[in-house]
Amino acid sequence: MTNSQKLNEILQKIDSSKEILSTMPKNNEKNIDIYVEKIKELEKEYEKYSKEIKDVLESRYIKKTNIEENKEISDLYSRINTIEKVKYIFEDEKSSMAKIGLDKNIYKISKFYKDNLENVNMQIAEAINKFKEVGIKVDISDFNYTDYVQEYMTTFLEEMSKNTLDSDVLKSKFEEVYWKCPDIIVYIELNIRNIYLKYQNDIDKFLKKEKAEILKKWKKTPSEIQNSYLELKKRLIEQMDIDRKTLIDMFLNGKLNIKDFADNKLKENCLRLLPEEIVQNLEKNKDTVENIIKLLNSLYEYKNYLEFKFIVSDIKNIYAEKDKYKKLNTEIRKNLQASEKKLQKINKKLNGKNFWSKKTSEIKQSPEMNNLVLEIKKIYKEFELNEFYNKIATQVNEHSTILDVLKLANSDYIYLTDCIIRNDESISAEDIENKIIKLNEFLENPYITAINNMSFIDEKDIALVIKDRYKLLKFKIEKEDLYEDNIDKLISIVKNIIIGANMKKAKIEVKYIEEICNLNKLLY
Amino acid sequence: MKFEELETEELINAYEQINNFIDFLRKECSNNDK
Repeated sequence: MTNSQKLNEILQKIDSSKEILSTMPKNNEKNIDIYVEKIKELEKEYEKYSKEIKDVLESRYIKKTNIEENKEISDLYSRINTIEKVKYIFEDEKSSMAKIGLDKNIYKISKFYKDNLENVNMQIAEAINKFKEVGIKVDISDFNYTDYVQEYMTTFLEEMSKNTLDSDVLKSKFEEVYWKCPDIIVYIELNIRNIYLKYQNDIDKFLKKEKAEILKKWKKTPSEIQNSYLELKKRLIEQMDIDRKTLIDMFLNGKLNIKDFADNKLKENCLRLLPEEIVQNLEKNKDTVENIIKLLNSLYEYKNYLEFKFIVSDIKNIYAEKDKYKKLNTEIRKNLQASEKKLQKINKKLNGKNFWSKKTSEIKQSPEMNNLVLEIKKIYKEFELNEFYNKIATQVNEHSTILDVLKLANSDYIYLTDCIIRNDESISAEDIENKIIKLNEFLENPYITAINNMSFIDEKDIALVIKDRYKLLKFKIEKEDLYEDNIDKLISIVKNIIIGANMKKAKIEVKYIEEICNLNKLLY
Repeated sequence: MKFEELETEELINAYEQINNFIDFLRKECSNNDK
């Protein structure tokens, strides 16, 4: 008996079961009982078949999808991670505050102060730990901004040492201090900024020493480490592109649709991109396949550039007024120190020197003190932004590339968030984070070829440059294809051609993917 | 029946037909059971 005959046998069996049921009388209770009894008997029988088939299908699915990832991929990930852990030390465009990520904690404390105390506490604890990691052991004597800060941070440090930052003790201490000093979190934020400035030289020295030790141990220069990093990322992408497991998973989790990779669909996409004579010999012509991959990388680069173009424009505007920012920073720092001294004086005048003998209810504040704290917050913001503007004035010149200035922006969390918010005032905190992650990924892309060669001042029409480059290689591409509204369509076509080629390299057939996708849909 | 001998595509077909029939049986049962 052939397989099709077996299938027919099952179908015929179902039909004959239906036939039997249709001939059974249901004219009285007794007959209905007999009918129901027969139904239950058939149900049991067919459930047994159903389970047996399901078991066979499941074991086939497991066998077909139980594929190991190429071992080189996890090895590459681990080598990339090793570099990523220390890479920040070599990023000279970053201040030591940015290198250790303290700028992010300060930003989050200032943003979350209104809605999430647990998150604020977590950020304060992270900031304290970051100081510790660079050899600065912060204790209660550092939290001397005001008596209220000292009051809250005394309990905070006690609870932190016991790993109980979610304790009721800390919550009630916050409650107690908050009603006396509603700006307590602003005070703590400023105090952390103050601690950083106090120890900045020590932190700089620590990081410099770490950097020297790593370079000595690895026997490489920072640029050699960066090059190795980019080469490893390239290798990882190449290996993942043709890895059977990675490709199959993309179909199983719905990221790819097998219908887009049928032969006729792939040919249609190829003909959209290239003349027929080239498409006919595509498999033999390695150069053309390489050029399609290069085109995809150019399209991704251009799309990302469009998303972050507003930062380049902002820096261009700051650069045009660069002379304004060259000298001001020392003046702002002096102003900051004077205001902080004044704050200490007012605090002492109101509360005396002996904080430890006081109860919270006895600690006093004055409107003068509160206004001064808000003024100091403004000066810190001005100081930080000016520090960034100063970098533009001193580190950027007319030969700087788009990549250079985007990297500079990416090195300064406070400026970057400020710039993103100015570009889109309704953006959520989560979307800001996602945008920053995306910018970071973009700047670490090992296939960047345009923005690292183009001046940020004399910005060329990148779309035109890309179009002209690939037209020379006989690609059917027009400038309109690179318009913001059309680029995703072109990316999708090019990406599918490349994935189709990678599937061939990985010896994955369309029929095979269809089968496991059908099984996946049916079984899970 | 020896289902192992069937091609996956045919097996999927049979599985769907059987499950449809089980659904039919369950409906019939709930319509007629007291």
